[in-house]
Amino acid sequence: MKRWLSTLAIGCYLSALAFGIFSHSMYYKNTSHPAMYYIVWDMFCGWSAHDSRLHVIGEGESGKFYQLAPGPWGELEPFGDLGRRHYDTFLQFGHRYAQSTLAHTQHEPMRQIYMVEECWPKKFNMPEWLWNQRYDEPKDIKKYYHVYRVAAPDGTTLQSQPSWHTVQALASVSKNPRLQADVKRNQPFYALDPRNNSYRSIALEGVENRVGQSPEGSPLAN
Amino acid sequence: MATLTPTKNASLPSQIREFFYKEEVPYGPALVRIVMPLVLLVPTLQRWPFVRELYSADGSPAPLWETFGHPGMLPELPGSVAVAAYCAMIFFLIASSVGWFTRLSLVASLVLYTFFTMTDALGTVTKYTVIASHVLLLLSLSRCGAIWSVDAWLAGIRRNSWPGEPSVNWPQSAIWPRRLLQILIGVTYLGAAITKMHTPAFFGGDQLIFWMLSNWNFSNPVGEYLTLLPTLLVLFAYIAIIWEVLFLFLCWRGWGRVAMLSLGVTFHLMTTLILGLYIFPMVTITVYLSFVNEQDVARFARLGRRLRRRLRSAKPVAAPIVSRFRVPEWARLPAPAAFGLGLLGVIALGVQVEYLSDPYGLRRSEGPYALQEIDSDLVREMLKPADALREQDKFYAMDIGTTQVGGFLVDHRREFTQGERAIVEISLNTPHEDLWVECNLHDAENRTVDRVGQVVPREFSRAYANYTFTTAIEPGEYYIVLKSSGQEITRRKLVLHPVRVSAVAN
Repeated sequence: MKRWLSTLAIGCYLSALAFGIFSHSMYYKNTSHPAMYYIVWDMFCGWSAHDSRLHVIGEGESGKFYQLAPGPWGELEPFGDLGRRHYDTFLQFGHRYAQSTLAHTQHEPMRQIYMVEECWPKKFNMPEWLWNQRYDEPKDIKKYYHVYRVAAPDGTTLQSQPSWHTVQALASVSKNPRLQADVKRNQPFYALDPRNNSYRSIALEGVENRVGQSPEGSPLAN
Repeated sequence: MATLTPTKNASLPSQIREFFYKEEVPYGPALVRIVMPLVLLVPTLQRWPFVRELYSADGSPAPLWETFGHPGMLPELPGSVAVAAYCAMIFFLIASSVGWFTRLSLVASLVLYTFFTMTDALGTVTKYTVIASHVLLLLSLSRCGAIWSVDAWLAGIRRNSWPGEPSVNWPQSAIWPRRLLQILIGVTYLGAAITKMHTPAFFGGDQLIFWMLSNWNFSNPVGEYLTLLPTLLVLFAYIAIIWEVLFLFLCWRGWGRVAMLSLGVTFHLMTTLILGLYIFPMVTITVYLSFVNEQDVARFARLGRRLRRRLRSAKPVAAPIVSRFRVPEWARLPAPAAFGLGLLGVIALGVQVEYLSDPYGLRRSEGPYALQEIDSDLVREMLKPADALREQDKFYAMDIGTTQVGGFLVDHRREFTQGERAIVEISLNTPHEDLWVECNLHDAENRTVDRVGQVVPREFSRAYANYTFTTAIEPGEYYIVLKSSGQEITRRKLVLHPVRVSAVAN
């Protein structure tokens, strides 16, 4: 009996690992359930040429602006010296930091919450000693800001855009005049519902994987 | 190693039986059991002050199940309950390491650790936490607590003073949990290799350069320096993927085992140096302890005995003190009661300390924190319509040389001789649109001597231009000027020397 149970355990475990490898290599149901995260070993990844940080800003009724993330009590730096919110690459939880900060602080009534990306080319991350070896010209860094999402104080999304990186990728395609003409000519009369999650995720995934949005796999982290 | 040397004519089923069901002393699993919880305690204790914020409904949890489109799959705990459960997890991890109620502690650690890591997809769950959950599961199925544990000590195994001594009857059990640990790490590497195969840009080297420049983990100055040597990165990329594919097949015995494990340790230590990873290498190298078998332990034991004999002349100090130590009779408790009291004590202490630390500052004498105001000019800059990408930000670098290896120049040169061919390597930041890029030759007075233009399609991250400095070009100082959309991006000065004409005898 014990041997049979052991054999069953070995069989189940090896089958799960084998299914994970198959699912991962063949893109079959590899993101269908959270359990897949435990058998799909998609480490590494593609890293984009630009770095980004996230700002969560509240606009009070007085017109003043407040920092909503990190909260006044600080923030966990989970894998280095970068705050936790910056690992929210697809901004899935921005409203949660804002809600939590608002719930635990004293403040005036809020009008809107802005979630803003700050981006710059990663070459500017080089320390000075390395930059001076690599380049003849001095560092001339420019930060690009991009309003990723606007929310009501209760967290309801008022306005949402793709990430800065995706916008750049789309812009690089949309500069094609023939493509622009085709798009104008073939606009459907009935628009698809942009709130339909499945449609949205397909559209974003297709572009972002191709252009190497960071990270393509799961981070290794610390 | 002898565990994998079945008799020559053994059938496949009997070999498989031997592979999974051979009986041995569980040294490997015991070592993993001792070390892994200690490794996991490092990030776990780092997150303890943030339990309420990260893992409870009283904060801003980021559940993994929501990122997979399954909202509400698991509950979000109230603040104090999360703190209590987290403290219990810390207790169970410690108990697992020392082997006290080993199986119960491992199962509880598995459940709580997996739950808490899944509750925070941003700052906690990563692939090393996944590997750790697998390891806790497999250890809970093994008899890893049978040796080197409080359980073994309580059961009287403490009489077995030295591993590998033939007279001692160490408990044996089937080897299969150790085998599954070994297969786990091999499959993990295979999956990682498949990911890289899915990402052709991995072998191009550009993504590796940007990875080294991502300030995503701890400081990685070695990695940053390696961005100057991208050819090495490409070479490492190929070595890494070959090792990852081969590991599962060669790690079992002989030189293959030594080579795969040595390469593995080197690889993971390199990830510390070049990527700033710490816990991930510690977790994976800990899993390597599952490769320790009876022969290895016997070898180390012999070495230890030799050392002990040498040190025997030294007067023992600690041993008599330890042997004299006795728990007073009045303080003796049955083990389950002591375990339960310890658990409750840790939970009560943790909840109380967390309450007193007041993580949100709600009970401060001056009241809750006020929000920090941000400079409105900065916010207006952030909220205005996004600026178009500057032309120079579409480019990473321009280098000049003559020899390419792995698609990158290996000799960055600024001086050439007539007759030589220079390669200009232009690296771009993606995404970018289709670009018309010029790489022009200017003389010292900035007059254009030669214009070389080309289309760089949007999917290209590198482009090259070749110059042959014929004798038609006068020796002297020149500039290679990179232009895009008519704008100068950068320029590199170079010196052209005259060709040496050797005398020809008649």
